[in-house]
Formats: sequence, structure tokens, C-alpha cells
Amino acid sequence: MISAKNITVAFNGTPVLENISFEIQKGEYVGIIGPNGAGKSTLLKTILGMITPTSGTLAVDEGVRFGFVPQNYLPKISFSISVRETLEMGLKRRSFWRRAGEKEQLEEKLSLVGLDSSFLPKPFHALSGGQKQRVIIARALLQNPEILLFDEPLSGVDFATKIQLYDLLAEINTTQSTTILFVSHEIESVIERCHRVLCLNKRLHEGCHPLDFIQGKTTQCAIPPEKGVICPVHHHHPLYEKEC
Amino acid sequence: MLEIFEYDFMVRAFIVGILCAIVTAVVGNFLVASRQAVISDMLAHTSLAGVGLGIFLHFSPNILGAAIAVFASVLLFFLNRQKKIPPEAISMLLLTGGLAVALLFAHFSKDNPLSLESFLFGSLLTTTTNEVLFFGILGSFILVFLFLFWNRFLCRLLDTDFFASRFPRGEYWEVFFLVIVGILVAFSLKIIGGLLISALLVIPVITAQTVANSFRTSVAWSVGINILGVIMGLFFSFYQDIPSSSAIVLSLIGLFLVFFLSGSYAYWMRTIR
Repeated sequence: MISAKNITVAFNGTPVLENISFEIQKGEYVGIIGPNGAGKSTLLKTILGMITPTSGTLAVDEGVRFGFVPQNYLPKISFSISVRETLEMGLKRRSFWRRAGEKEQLEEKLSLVGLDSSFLPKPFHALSGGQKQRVIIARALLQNPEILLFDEPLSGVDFATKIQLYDLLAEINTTQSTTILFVSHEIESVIERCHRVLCLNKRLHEGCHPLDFIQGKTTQCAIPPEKGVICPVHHHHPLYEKEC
Repeated sequence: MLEIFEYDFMVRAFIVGILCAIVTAVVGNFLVASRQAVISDMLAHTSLAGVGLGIFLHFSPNILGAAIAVFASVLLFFLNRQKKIPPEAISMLLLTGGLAVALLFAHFSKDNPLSLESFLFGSLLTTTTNEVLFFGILGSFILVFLFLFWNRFLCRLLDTDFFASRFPRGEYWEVFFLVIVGILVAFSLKIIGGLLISALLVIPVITAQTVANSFRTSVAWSVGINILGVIMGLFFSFYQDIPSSSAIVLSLIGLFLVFFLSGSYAYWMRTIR
């Protein structure tokens, strides 16, 4: 679905992403981890077409629909805007006037994230953190996306809600075979939930364990990844898939 | 009939004041929601430079003011894209620069009967029939444009990242909006004055926020509050013989206090029960 070859992104001559290559297949649930300033958000924005790479090629299958859950939405909204109006930002409609059948569409997506239609008239800022995130995910689902991109969506959400939301994403991934790209700081959850993890710090570090990567050990494993074999450099399984 | 409506100039003041109240309330909601309220003040002051130039050249101050406001809107958009200087500091630069240029031109135009003062503080009572007609047409255009692209503006102004993910080349929506605010502010200078126009854009919106649950209800409430503020202000102005723009702004502040305090009182009563 997405194929990136040697992508470099630079702002005012300073590289933010260097020589990045990866492929993402349909139905994959891919985590992207890395320290602050590693270029995680820049990578998502490049995939979405919001940023043009300085060099390299990024090929996305033609007509692929994206759904985006941005990072900075929640703290910004202190103005009275209803859940319905927040969701409507995800609709094709340009004008003020609502169309027939729209409400049912909104209700359907709301029910997918576990909320009912009684939420539609409520003011967005009066919802709990978890409910707000569900609404924002429902808004991304309104585009019937084939790829969903999340930019640290669960920061500031309590633990129990976080687990529910992770389950919700896994469900969307399996039942609708939606490809998911998930940027997060929560390394354990990412390793546990995602099919594979991209370790990013300006460039991609392949073949190292995410737990080592996050501690700054970016050397490649001494042996090729194989199930059940312990790497003598990193002292744990170099394969970091769920079943290991 | 009330004495106030026996004068043609008062009838014109009511019509243009109410038109201005409707348009500024709708635009004001988008401005306040996107935390750009200070931009209205910046554009008003900057467009005064065009007004000053108009008075100096004996050419329509309104048109030159609007031209400068449009230019400042586009300039602001591009200046905000750089990361070195904070946006509010850039606004202050344009604001003070505009006012300084306006005062300079006014100093050299003492022969012109039009004074900069009437654009600084507004002169609603001297509105002509042509000005009423022109503002009616302009206001209708602005409202139609906003309602046709309501959902786009709302998304672009409230959640820039989400909007950019849907329309990666959609930055021009922000320029459209700034230009609308610039034109509206420039043509409202004579009605309410460059120093007070922000009151019509901001006060009804924050008053409406004390009761509204959605953006649409906030727009409806703020339109009502703005119209009421203008009507009250014109009555005070006529019967107490005080400047109209001052009376309108003070009426709006009075309405805000009534809404805010009654909301706080209701909350307090609920809490102690």
C-alpha cells in the first residue's frame, strides 16, 4: 500500500528524516517509536502528503483513503462546539446546511467506537478524555479509511480507557482490515499490540530490538532474527513479534 | 412613534448598526474559536494606514483602508509561516505600524474635512444612504460565502492538522478567512471605529459562550446579543447624548456581565443545594 524509498525530509537545510525506506502492506498494524524530535510526526505528515520529501520517492496506492487522528486537538478546544459539529469536520459537505442521511452516518461511526447517538448534541469539551478520543477516532473513520494514522493519540488518557482504546483499534484492524500506523511513546503497548515496530530516530534502525533502541542501543543484532534464539549482544529475542 | 425614529439619520444608524452586528457576530465566532481574536484589532489598526492615505490623497478612505487590510491579511499569513517571531508579536508590529502611518498622514491632511478621528472612534450617526446600501451588499456577500463554506472554515480554523490531512494544499482557506476579516473590519471603521471594532467581534461571542452548547447555538446567541447591544447603545446615545460607539460597546459589556453573573449565580445555587 505504501512504499518509501530513501526518503529525506529537511527543514531549512536541517534533515529531520534521513534516507528512510519501508513498505507497508494492507491490513498491517505498524507501530512507530522514537525519542522526541525523532521525526515521527513528520513521517506521518509526509505519508499524508502534508510535507513533500526533499529527496526519495514515496509511492502510495492510487485512491487510498486516509484517516488521521492528530496529536494536538484536545487541549486546543475550549470553545463550545458539539460532538456532532466535531464529527462533521470529517464529512465531504462544505456548507452550513445539513443533508439527509448524514446523522445516520455519524451515529454509525459513533457506535463503532462505543458511543451512542445521545452524545451528538453534547459539547465536546465536556466529555472525558477517553470519550473525546473516541469521537476523534470516529471522525477519522468517517472517511472510510483504508489506512488510519495515529499521532500519539492516547497521551493524557487514563490507564483503563487506554486499554479499551487499544482493544478498539485492534478490533478496527481485524474486522475491517484497516491498515494502522501508530505513533506512540508507550513502548510496551506498541510491542504487545502492533504486528511490527519501526524504530525511528531521523533514520530507521532495522534489526534492533525496540527496548534496546529506546535506551539508545541501536546496534544490529549479532544474529539474524529467528524465533526462540537469544541474541548474544542484546540478551533477548531479536524477534519482537507478539508470539516471541 | 418614538421620537428617536423620527430622524432619518437615526433610522439609517439602526439599519447599518444591526447589519454590522449580524455580520461581525458570525465572523467573530470563527475568530474567537480559532484563538485569533487579536487579529481583528491588528487588521483594524493596520487599515487605518489606508484611511490616513485616503484622507491625504482625497480618495475614498474606505477603499484604501480595505486594500491595506487585505494586503496585511496576506502578509500576516506568510509571516506566520516562519517560526522565528511569535505571531502575536508580528500582529503588534503591523498594528502599531499602521496606526503610526495613519497619524503621519493625518498630520499632513489638515485641509481635508474628513478626520481620522471619525474612523478611530466611529461616527454611526453620520452614515449616508449609499453607505447603508453598500454595507448591506458587502455583509450579504460575506455571510453567503461563510455559509457556503462553513464546514471547511470550521475544520481549517479549529483543527489545522486534521484539515491538512484531508486537503494537503488547503492553506488558502486561512487566507480567505483573513481577507474576509480584513474587508469587514475596514468597512466597519466608520460605523464603530478602529479602536472599538474588536468589541463587536469578540464581546457577543464570549457572552454567548456562557449559554451555548454548540458552535451553531453560539452563533445564534451572539447575533442576538450583538443586535440587542447595538439597539441599546443607540437608545442611550440618543437620549443621554453620548457617543454612539462608546454607548454600544458599554451596552455589550453590560450584557456580558448580566449573562456571566447570572450563569455564576445559577452555578452557585446548584452547588449549595
